[in-house]
Amino acid sequence: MNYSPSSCGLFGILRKEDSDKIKGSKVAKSLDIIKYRGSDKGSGYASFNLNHNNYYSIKTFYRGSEEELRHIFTEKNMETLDCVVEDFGNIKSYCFNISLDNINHIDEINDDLWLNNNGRVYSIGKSLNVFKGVGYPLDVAEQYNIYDKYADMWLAHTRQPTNSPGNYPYWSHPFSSFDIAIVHNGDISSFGSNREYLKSLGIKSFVGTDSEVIAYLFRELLKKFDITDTVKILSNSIDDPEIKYKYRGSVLDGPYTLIISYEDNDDLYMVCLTDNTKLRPVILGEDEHNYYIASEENQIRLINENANVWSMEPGSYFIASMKRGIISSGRQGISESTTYNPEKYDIDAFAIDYNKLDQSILNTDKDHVIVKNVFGHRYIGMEFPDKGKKLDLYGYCGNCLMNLNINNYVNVYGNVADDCCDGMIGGKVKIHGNAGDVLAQAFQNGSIYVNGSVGNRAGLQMRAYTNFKPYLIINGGFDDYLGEYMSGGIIVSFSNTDQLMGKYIGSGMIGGKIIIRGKINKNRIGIQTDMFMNKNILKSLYNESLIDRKFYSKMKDKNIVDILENMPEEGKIYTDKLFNKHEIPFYEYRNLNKNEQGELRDIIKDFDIEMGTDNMKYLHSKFTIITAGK
Amino acid sequence: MNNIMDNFISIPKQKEAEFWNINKIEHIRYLSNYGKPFKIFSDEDGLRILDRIKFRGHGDNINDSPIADTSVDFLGLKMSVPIYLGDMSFGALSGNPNIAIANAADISKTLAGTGEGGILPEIKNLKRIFVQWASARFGVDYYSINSGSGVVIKIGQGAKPGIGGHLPGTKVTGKISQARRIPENIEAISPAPHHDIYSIEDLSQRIEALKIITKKPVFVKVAATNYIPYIVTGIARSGASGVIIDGQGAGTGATPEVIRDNLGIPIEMAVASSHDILIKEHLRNNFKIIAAGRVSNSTDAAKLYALGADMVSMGTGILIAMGCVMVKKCNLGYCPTALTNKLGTNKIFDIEFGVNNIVNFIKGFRLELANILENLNLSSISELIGRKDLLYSDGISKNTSNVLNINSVNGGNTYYKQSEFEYNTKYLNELINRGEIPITSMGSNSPPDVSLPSRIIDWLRIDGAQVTRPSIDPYRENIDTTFYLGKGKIKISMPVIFDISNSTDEIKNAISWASQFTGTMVIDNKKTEKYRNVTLVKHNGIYKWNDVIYSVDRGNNDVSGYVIEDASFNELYISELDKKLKEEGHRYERDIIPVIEHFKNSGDIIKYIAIGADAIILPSKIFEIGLGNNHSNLNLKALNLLLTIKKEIALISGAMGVSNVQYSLSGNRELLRGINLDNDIENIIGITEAGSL
Repeated sequence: MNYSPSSCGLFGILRKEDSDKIKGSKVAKSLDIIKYRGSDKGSGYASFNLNHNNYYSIKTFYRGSEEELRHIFTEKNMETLDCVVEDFGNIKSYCFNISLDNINHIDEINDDLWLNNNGRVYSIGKSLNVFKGVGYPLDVAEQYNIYDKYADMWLAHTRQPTNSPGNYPYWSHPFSSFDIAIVHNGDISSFGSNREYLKSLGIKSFVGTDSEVIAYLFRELLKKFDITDTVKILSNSIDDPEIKYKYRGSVLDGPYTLIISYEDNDDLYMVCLTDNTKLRPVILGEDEHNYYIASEENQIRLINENANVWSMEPGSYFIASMKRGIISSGRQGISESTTYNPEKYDIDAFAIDYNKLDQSILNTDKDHVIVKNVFGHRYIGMEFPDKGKKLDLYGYCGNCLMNLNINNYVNVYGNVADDCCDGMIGGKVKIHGNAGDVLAQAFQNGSIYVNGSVGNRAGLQMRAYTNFKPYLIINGGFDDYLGEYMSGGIIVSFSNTDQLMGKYIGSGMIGGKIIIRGKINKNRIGIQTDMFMNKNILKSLYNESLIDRKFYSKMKDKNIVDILENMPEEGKIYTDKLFNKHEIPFYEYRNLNKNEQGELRDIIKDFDIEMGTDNMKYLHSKFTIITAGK
Repeated sequence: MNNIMDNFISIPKQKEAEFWNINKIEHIRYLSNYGKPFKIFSDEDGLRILDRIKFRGHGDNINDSPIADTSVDFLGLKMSVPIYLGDMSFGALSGNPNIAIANAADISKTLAGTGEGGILPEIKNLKRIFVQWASARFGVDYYSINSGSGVVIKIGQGAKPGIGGHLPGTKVTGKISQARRIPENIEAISPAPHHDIYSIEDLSQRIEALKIITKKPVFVKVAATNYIPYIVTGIARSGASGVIIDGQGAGTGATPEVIRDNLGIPIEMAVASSHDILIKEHLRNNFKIIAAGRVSNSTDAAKLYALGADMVSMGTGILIAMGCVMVKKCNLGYCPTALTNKLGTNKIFDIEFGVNNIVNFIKGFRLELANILENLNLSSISELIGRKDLLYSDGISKNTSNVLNINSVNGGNTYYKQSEFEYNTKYLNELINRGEIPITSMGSNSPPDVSLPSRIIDWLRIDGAQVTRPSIDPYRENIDTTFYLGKGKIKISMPVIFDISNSTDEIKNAISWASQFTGTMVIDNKKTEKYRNVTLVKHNGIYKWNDVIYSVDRGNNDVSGYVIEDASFNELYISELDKKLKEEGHRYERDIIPVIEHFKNSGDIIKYIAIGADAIILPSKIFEIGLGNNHSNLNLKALNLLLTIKKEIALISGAMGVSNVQYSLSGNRELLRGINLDNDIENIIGITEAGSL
């Protein structure tokens, strides 16, 4: 066994400097509420408490006796002070304190322990304490009495392994090394390359998860770089070619969300980074007392229902420290979250299981049902796609809301998570907050309104056929890949600030229309060649006299859309070979024509009435209009 | 006038090694004609691992009315024989064959999968079908998803792991547009991944959602790739009723050749190891394994049952029963047997002919299976499933038989079974003249399963992303093929550099120009003014570009890296040098750049990078071979070659779920698997056997 992919739920919380320490029970509950993302195969917590101790706490899972383990440490010149032992049946956890000067050989001890399959050092730190085991979040919390512990910062993780090699806690998160702890959700495709790199640095043994590899990479990079550059190297956003080259073994690829916590210079840091496409879920948050990182919004709302929450912008990262506050927010232009409460309601969803809300709705036997405290419930509406109900949902709707909807009419007062309205062929869904990723996939008919903004891939492969036509109207901005693979219907966004717009708009579009208020930069549409490629193309065309010097100089810093639009015929023969067909959609900046205005007038009016906006005034202004490439 | 296809047509001559050879086709035709058993224990001298797996001491009697029981209860559905008629969509097939298959499943008491093309009105009341939920959601709504006996979430298929589907607009006629619920005359694209499934936890969510909406069994179809045992346990834990595992070499209506011939692992390895891990994890009860990919006769099926499959799936076999002659032109829409042709052409497939043939074929197949059971002294098929003790392997490597977990004889070295290297002229020609990624159809004939390997990398297969991470569509999403070399001073848009030193000036110019356009470099004895910025000059074993210097001499420590001259078994040398430089602590400041004379396709590049190369050097001879005698438009042709190689690198990377080739792939042996490769070689390179944990 050398690799164990898994998928998971995460939580991280860091207190602000003048706030109280955070009680473990809050953390355990915020992990437990998403336990369906994990399993009974592993959960774990890490606490950080700033202190000025002159020793490290070293925690080791070990099969043998205390004496044997002490001996192993003594042989490496590490004097073990007092010891705390916890017994988990098939294995024990030993916690020694070791003085700061003697700590150099921990990796070697780990190599020896792992070679004989006897154990593993799993927590090393002055301020860090890892508690991990086999079981659901609350089982492990109980084992270690997490409830009554207090800390400045916590990480928590529940794990769904695709393989569980025996009932040992080695593979549970967090993974740690010298006051660094990491929890992770995803599958690192660069894992093999990263491991090779670490081996070249002399790290020999691995328990076999990509998460552990990340902990080591972070430790090694932080020895040489500051936190911002460390994060940039890991997430492939550093520009310096020499660093890119030299540290090519420490870049992460594949889908991931990471929370990294560490102590540095008498301060505590909490970092969140994702792959550049943000393929795994993460929600960031802040309130008067704390900073939050979670897999789902309900985890944060459980601690403070009025906390401000926002999603991570693809390609961004979040860094906060206890003393310095937010260093990088993970998104530009964060707006305040609004919370709504109904005056009357039919159902209080708080105590209802995450997958059982539909039954409660059906049990009311009413056509119009008002639900309060929706708390991450999933699959709402899937048991009655054609029952023609009117629903008012207050709170935070979880994944897969109104999938395959046929004729229900739904108001959501709050945010919705991912995969909303997948395969919807009729009815109406009005979201008064924000929508997560992959909203309206394969949406075929009806209308979807969003008052806030939407995540990645909204309107993915929307389509129209026969007399079916879908409309997705967004008041705010959008993340990457808006209208990807779209083949029919209309998407409108009234956002007019560049920072609320994602990249790769209309990539792979073969039909339909994306209408965005204002003029967007052409480099945001489709999948384009980069500047390096563009310059080479122009140079080679100039070399063969297919373009003249004037054209070369004019175009050398332009994006490929502009270059291709102006390319003379002689050059086109070659540049035509660059793309297949659908990489780059067709771009126009103009007023809506009569037909378009006529088609959208009633829909925008309706949107304004429902959402209390005034977008009608833009009907005659200029829009960027994206259609299928030609 | 319509031309009704209601008879077999003659089988064209087969010029090369074919998996579906004349014997196999004629066996199927016999069963389809007569519905009687024909041949059992038909262990041909094939190269597949499955061909080298045999039953211990068995009789050879064959009679027309065996009494052994082949029926099974499949999730409450009584099946006459555990056969699944596999997932061929309306659109890939021309409609009437789809109707024939669904009806034949009903009559023969088996089960048919609809594929992702939605459901034709003619079959919507038939119950022995599994409806597919695929990445494009074709034909899916509340009612259609509820119309069969179960739902299949299609993640991937063996012929193209990690690649989405594509139906050209000309094939999307009125009837297909209605069945798929998509606009007419516009091409139908299936995204490479499900964009709601980027992990096992996401898959669990979709399984749960589909169970809520249908209250029916949910299956997950995946291609057999590197992590198949983990993926299958993940699927079992997610509440699915079973998995359809599709092995390498499985049939398809259209696939990029370079994907089909390089990605995925054999079904026998995948089934054997998935079965074992499910037992170990206490997940095997009430979970079904359906094995697909190159099930060509009852003997194949019997071996797969014994290795752990509850059911086998057949696609190509069923097409052959309906008259397919393997001309492999499904993607073009001009099928001579009217099975896969475009709607509206004047050839029409006769439904009755199809139904009769499939029913007969299944009957004959079932009777052969019953004969096999009797010869094994078993009275029913349930006594055969998972009976690895009845099997042994003959002449395969130790690592391979360990994965299979069966006894072996004559194990040991396998590498000597090699053939001479031959260039794939047709492929190179297509790259150069068309400048598009070659698309083909039906199963592969590539090594090591059908034709003999000629290089070590022919025994290696590339991973395809299935469930644990999403595959990436290179035409719609960003895949970075840029490589940094020479301490960061060299930036090339792909890890391929042509050595043009042995070519004429006209070839040199064309490749230099195309390399500049593409953003990569060339190697020559001297540099020209025009291409001085993209030329590495080689002289006496030294390659130089500005102050970046490569040497062929490994003893030279004062360089940016090493050019490894071509030699057979170079894979071993490259891999060892990679490891050695890592041990010495110099790996991340020096490059390893091998010369690859024996270049078959772009899959080679990926494999070399994964075993330790930082870029590869191709001789310009490859361009000349693909050109043939026609030297017109050389610049365009050179550009076609380079850009298409670049596109193929991106395509494969995307299928692997890799968005940055250099970062993910360099030295990443984890993304490769060995297929019955000599164990010493596997150990030296650091390759894991296909199907292992």
